Amino acid sequence: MKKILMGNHAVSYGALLSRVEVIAAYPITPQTQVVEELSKMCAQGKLKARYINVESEHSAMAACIAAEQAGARTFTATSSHGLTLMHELLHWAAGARLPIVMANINRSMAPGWSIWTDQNDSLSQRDTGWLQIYCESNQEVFDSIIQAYKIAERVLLPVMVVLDAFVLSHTYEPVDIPEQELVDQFLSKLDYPYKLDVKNPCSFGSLLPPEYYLELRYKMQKAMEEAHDVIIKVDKEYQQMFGRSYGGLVEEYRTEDAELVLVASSTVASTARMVVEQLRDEGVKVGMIKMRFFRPFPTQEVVNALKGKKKVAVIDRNISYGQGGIFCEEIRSVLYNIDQHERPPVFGYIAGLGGRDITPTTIREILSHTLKEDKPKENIIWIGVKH
Amino acid sequence: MKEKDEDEIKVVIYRSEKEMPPVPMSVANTLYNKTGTWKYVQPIYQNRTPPCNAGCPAGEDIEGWLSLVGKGDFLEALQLLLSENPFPAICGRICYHPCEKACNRGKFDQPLSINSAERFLGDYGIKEGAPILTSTERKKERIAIIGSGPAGLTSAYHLANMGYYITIFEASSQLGGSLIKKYSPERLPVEVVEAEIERITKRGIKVRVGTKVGDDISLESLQREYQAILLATGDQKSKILKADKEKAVLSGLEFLEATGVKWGVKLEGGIAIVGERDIPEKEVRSTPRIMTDPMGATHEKGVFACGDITFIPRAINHEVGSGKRAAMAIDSYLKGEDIKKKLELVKVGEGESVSMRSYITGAVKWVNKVVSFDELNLDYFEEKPRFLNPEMFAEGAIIKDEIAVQEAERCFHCGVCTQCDNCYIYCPDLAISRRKDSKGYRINYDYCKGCLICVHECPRNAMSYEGVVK
Amino acid sequence: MIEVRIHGRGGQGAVVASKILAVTIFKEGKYVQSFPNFGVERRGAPVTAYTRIDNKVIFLRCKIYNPDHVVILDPSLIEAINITEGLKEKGWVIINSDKEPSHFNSLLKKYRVATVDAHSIALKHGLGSKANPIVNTAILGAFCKTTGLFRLSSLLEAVREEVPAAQERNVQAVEDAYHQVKY
Repeated sequence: MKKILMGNHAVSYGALLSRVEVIAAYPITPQTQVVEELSKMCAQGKLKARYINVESEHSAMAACIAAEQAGARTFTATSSHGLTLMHELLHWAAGARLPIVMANINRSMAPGWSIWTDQNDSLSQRDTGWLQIYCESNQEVFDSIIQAYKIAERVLLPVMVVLDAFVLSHTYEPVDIPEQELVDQFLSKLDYPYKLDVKNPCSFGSLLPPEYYLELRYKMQKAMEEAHDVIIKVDKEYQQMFGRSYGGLVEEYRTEDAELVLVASSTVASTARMVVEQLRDEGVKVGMIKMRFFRPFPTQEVVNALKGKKKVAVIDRNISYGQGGIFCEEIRSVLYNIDQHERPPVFGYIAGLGGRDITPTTIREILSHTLKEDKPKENIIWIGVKH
Repeated sequence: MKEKDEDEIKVVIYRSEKEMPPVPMSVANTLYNKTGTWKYVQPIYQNRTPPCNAGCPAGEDIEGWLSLVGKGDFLEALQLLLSENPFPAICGRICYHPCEKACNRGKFDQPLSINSAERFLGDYGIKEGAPILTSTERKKERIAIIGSGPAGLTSAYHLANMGYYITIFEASSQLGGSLIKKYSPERLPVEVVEAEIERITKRGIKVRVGTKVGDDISLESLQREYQAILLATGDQKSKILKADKEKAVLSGLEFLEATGVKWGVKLEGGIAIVGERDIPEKEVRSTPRIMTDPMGATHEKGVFACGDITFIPRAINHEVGSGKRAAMAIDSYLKGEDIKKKLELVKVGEGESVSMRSYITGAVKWVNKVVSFDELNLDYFEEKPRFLNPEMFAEGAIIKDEIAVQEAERCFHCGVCTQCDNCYIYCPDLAISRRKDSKGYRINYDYCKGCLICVHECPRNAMSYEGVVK
Repeated sequence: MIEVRIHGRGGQGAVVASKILAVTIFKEGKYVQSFPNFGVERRGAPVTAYTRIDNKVIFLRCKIYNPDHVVILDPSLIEAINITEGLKEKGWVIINSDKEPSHFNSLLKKYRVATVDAHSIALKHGLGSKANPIVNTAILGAFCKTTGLFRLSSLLEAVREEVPAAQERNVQAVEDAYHQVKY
């Protein structure tokens, strides 16, 4: 059944249909409607879950960790300062190999105080061991929550589903909500193999001496690597059941004969489709890859899509201060080891920080600049800075 | 896991990451690791004697009834109080309350206002009509009690509660003895005395006033008719003082001769003698007395004594205590049991305080070690001055229930577990659990490694410790 | 693609109007997107909401800068802000006003103007209070008739589904406005 839903409610419906059992969350703009709707669903009995009110995001994640450790399917949602307050426990959730799913509404970090979108909150959680999915539509948000549980519970790592503040979170559009029965077939009840059991008490997260720590981290990285194939498989299964897929980790859009490939993520990728379409009509050989997953990083997909291309332009709605756009740096890094003749120059653009609108004009400007220049003159090419 | 398996568990050494679980968790059930073997001291979860209780010569469970007052259960509190002492309204007025001197809170801010709380509860009992505990069991033995002062009445009360047939012989025309004669009506109104005596005599006790044993009826005839006799004739001094000093002594002798109790020089065991004696309380003057054993037995078989005629300080609380001890002695005698063997069971503290409840039930509420101030964890208490004071009982003043509740809430409950959960919460080894029957906690000594955090965090020393012999 | 911008004041229901519009058009099998102006809102302060309509999937995800039509819930906004900013020529300006369209002379040079007394209609049907009549549903009736972008029956269906209370009175208000709009 198709419903007109705001992005935040698409998140809530995703959690509802995934039959989450425990929700612990703390409200924050622009995430509020996610938890408002979920608490309403719990109160109405539509969702048979325990909703735990907490006093901070740190506590929310702590409660999720405990609930997941007890074997319950667990959900939370947050944004920006809420996510960064969780930081310590994000490491814990991943290190303890708990398949928690969380929605993060991308919102800029203060100061200056901002409630608008950029990706610095989630990308600064890069090394916590969470998988990250960046969505471009409310439908993808909804579908990704359900997929996320299946992936997380298979590889035993937590997943963060990320959506842009306002551009998705507060935007209404049609979302196809499948029948619960169908979702139940796709996503069976969680049977977490290492759960707390009072009849067989074990200690969790206790002292791990240097003899073994390295091995556990090795296994965690292996799980991330394994996730690559699981993501693709789950996306295919999803398509078979629901008729929708997102290309697994990366979606290539009109790249087959493209000379210039744009790399984008989130809603920027959505708007960029239009621009690519227009430029193609104008005879420009341009394509796009949409970075759906940031972790695990889709190394092979990126290499395959970009090698031998004439130019690559990366749009980053984020910045790692002292270096550059985060997606751009990772893309440059995975291209480094390919044959020099096949390695395209990578133009790194930073735009749209703090919710500055990224319009078709912005994207056109980026593409024209890339077409005009042979090589990037600077590590970062800033778009829209008022000089 | 079976014990056999536990012994077989060894330290696991992984040779490769493939053997390891992906999760940082213990490889085996953690129950195998019996950390209890590490300890050289261990906590003991047991209630200990509150100092107020040990300090009450009448043997009241003060902490117990204060706890019930604190919950607003006045009727239950009163029942508990009455199970030891039939005179709360009287004691609440005239007792010199050594309990308050013993109260640990006195070293913190102000002692609990125990005496005033007792008066509140006693008056509540008179006003509301306290429940009468009638024994379902009727015994065949008959007991004569000579004298109806506080000691005699206390004995009569407890023995009647046990189911004995009681007859009180009172020489004067009125019950009460010193309660009638000794106090001004402002301090102890007659109605209060009458109400509390009536509550006792209502228990099917026969009363023969104006009957002087020796004159109107002989002791021998009583001995034929009754299986036990209790002398509770009180301090005869007021009468004797009218005579000269030498005669005063004789008067005592005459009394004893008249009653037929043998007296003389000290003999082994329980002996009745007459004479002047020094007694601990200076202000209480000595007078002719009967020597008994600590429980009130004279050397004459079947004859007991209690109250001011024995060697006790002359104060209501000591008189009640004396009457209680005699009641226990008579009951044991009639059952052919040795009261001395029960003494350790019924003693509260190291003084004269005894517990009738322990005597009746054969169970103790505490291990008999009094909790000292130093053994409390004062971090858990806030300074709070008294809510209730003796001055508040000005004529006609009504003490609100909340005041009594607030005052009772000040109680530290020294030595008595209030199930605050501190031990349960703080135990780092999860070795302390709540009992399923809600009666406190259980310590699993297999895993208690003797860190004594529970002992430290128990505000009231209901958790204490002892050494372990390995 | 048709883009609509709705101007109102916080509390008048501009955001809900943009959603009802989206639901209405979605019912007719088209693709829609609606969203509030990204940011903070306060009761009484100017509020903007947007609706996009297309025959194919809408990939465009940014604000609307050149709307095809604008809807004005509060006539006082005409003086307060530039309500025609970026409005395409010959675009409709649908105003909640008891005046004739000819009253808005300056607008008529570039745009088409329609007026409807949504204020009185809302009060007649007991929507909101005298101090704050809820005019969002009524003005959509006027929008429907004026632009002809969708059927009245679709709008009424959407109003019944999306309005949280007094559905039938809202339906009547929509119908009244549909018939009373002047253009």
